Amino acid sequence: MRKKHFNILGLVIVFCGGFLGTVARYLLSHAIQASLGNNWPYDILLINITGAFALSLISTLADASLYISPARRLFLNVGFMGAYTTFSSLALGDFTLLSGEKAMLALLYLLCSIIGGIIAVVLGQILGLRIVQRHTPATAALPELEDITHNEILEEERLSPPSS
Amino acid sequence: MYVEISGVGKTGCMDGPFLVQLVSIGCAGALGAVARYMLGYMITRRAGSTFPFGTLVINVSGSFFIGLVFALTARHVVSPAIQLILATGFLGGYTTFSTMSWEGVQLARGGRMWASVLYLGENVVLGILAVALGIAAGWWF
Repeated sequence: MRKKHFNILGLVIVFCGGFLGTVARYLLSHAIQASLGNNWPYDILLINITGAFALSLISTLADASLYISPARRLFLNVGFMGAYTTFSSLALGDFTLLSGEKAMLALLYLLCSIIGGIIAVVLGQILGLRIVQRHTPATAALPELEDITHNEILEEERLSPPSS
Repeated sequence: MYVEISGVGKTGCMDGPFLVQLVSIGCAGALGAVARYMLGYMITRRAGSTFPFGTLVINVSGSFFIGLVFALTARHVVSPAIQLILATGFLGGYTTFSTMSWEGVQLARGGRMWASVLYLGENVVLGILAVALGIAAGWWF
């Protein structure tokens, strides 16, 4: 197996996506807490479920090489969606509910998050596959696929996110 | 997560201090994302398995550190502004929910239903235990 180093461009792409994702989460969480109050972690729940849906849709399109190039996938999925959604705040929020003797709420929060995340991923994948199906007969006509030069393809292979 | 957002309520939404805070949190989150990308890749390669150990290790370790930061803030070792940068910024960008859900569903779709349940269950149970351990560590040391 060839030893593969991280290239700087890939790291910069993840950094930029991560910056925007974190800022989006912070601002949205702030806005949700301002309107719905902070008695229950609606903000993280909503952010995580929308992010899971978007990541699933993007991954499905990227796997079919439709619209999403490996570099865009790195930016959108690994960077933006990875940083936009968060697990540590979910775990801390749930522990806070548990230690506040709100065991039922803690369980409800966990179940809503996990089951909501699963449903979001499945829906994102279904929508993505629909879009792929609609475009499959006309794939050759897509400008993105036609205009890519050989060098760009090589560049994208270098950028491609870790997969097996 | 309910961190105190110091100073934000009193001032306008896009003035100086808030913008500085926003950019600090964004940069911390970006570094967290880069750390997740590199660590996740290295763990997946080392493990040589299709089970998504990378995200599991990242989420559980991030949960430990968010508990630690939470306890240190409660003890006034860390200021709320720094907590925001470390917890909402770095650890928020480092840990991920979307990739975890995606990997869980893909395990199930690949016919490995038990691996999927085990994976999501491990994330949740170990994550919450890690928060408790992190809080305990921050409280006693």
